[in-house]
Amino acid sequence: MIETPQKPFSIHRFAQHHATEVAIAALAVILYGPLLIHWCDGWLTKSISIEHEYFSHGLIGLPFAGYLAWIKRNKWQALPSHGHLVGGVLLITGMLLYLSPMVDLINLSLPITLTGLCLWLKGLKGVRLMVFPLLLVFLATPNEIPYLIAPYTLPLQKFIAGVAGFLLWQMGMDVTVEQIYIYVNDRIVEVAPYCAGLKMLFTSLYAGMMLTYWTELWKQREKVVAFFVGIIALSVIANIMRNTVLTFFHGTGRDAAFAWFHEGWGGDVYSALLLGSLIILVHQLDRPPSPQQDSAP
Amino acid sequence: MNKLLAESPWARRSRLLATIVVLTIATVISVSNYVTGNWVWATPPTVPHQTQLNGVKETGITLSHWQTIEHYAGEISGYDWSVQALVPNDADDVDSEWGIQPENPAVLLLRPQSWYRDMPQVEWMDIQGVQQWTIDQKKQVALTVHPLSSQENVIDRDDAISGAGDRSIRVQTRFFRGWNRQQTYAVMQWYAWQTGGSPSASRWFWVDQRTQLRDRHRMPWVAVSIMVPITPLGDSQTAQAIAETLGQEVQATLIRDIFSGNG
Repeated sequence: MIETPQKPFSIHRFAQHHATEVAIAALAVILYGPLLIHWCDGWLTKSISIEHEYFSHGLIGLPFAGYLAWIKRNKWQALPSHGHLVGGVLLITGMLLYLSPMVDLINLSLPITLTGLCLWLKGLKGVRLMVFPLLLVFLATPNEIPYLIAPYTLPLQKFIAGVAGFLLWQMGMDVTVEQIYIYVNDRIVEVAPYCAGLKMLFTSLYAGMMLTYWTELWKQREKVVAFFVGIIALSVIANIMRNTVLTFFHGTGRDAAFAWFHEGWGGDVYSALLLGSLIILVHQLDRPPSPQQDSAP
Repeated sequence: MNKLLAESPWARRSRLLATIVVLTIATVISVSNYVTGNWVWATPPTVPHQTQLNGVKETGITLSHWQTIEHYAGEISGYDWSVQALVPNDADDVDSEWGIQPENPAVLLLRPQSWYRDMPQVEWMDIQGVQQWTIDQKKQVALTVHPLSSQENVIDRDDAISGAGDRSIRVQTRFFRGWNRQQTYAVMQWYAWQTGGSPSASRWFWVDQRTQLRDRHRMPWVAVSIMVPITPLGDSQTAQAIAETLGQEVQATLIRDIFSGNG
């Protein structure tokens, strides 16, 4: 009823002021939309390679990164438009990688392109503003590093096999441990890197990073160190328990229970419990000594 | 103060324009994938010679200086291995020296890549686990392999690729003594591929990455484990020469029969 001449005018203004931003965003979505769909589909249906599955924490990390970038948009706009030439180089590198014939390079092109865009459009200040979302994207980018570090987790695998074997022996079972193999009643359980909780450790560290940011724990350095030491200890202990239980199921012929805990939703419950305990841990660390002096906005 | 650092509207506009141009070029090049669905991640790299690789599991490989007296497909840690029991062809002089006899043969274990996502993992640990070996006397042994000249009968047969004949390749192997309560072996292990070999999976990994980037296919591999029987708790050194000769022949045969065929 009441004419609002502002409205069409503001759309016009928006188009004028943000046309280039909208165009850049649209092109980025056209380029990377299918790739992100491929990642998420691969993580959800486990159709992606085992190495790339290690990065399934991206399912929570990527939306969180997007959310953080969105709530920072006003600060982003307020930054002076003073780009850095290296950003342009990164942007072109990102596009060349995108057009390469290798999935890993295409994957890598996403964080490089995004960093390049920040640097090219707003300079170092832009990167500094967006550093955490960029880090979340970078650490959720599937690559082959899990394959390359797997040989180095051997001591951890042996340790877990040893302790799990000891626990089962305490329970009165006939157990032999050779390297990363646990022999129970003539059945063998191999503590593989994946089983040794490398994936769960990745996920825990990533979730821990998000919690550190969210609770602003990162402002207290000693607590951050304590938190991450706690995360590593928790996931190693949890994995010893998990492998003990798995070996117990396998060694005593409880194959259904083994499958439930190994591939079924029992494994998901385990993961959820471990991540839940991270929240308790960060809560404990965040609370006692000094009450937060936050000035509420 | 920041304003002073800010660039002119003209510079800003050309910066944005350049961004759009770069992104648009990449989009134009790749947008046809939306129609064809030929995304790189939807078309995994192929494994050349997959038929031959599969054949290794069923029949093993044929060596010219060694006779296969038994072959079967075994399973180690969930993977299919080809198991071949070998005795030397010119048995008379070698037998007495090395003690390799039909009742105490050398053993060749082979695990070929089974599909494109199959990468070398912890094969050496798997074998150690299944044999329940104690391992000592460890060392690295380098082999020089002449793809064709080690196989006299091949030179005239494979004229087409004889140009590659004089190009020898280097293969790194791990050599050690593995023993359990029943048997002591001198063992030589490596991952073999067309242009080389190494016991380290990461060495294969980088060769594979280069191959994917250049030729858009994977570098097929075969895990090789040679087990030469020695006297109980004897010195593995005594069997090193025969392990090396056998190792060279295995690598050369793999290159000729598995990594070079069609399909």
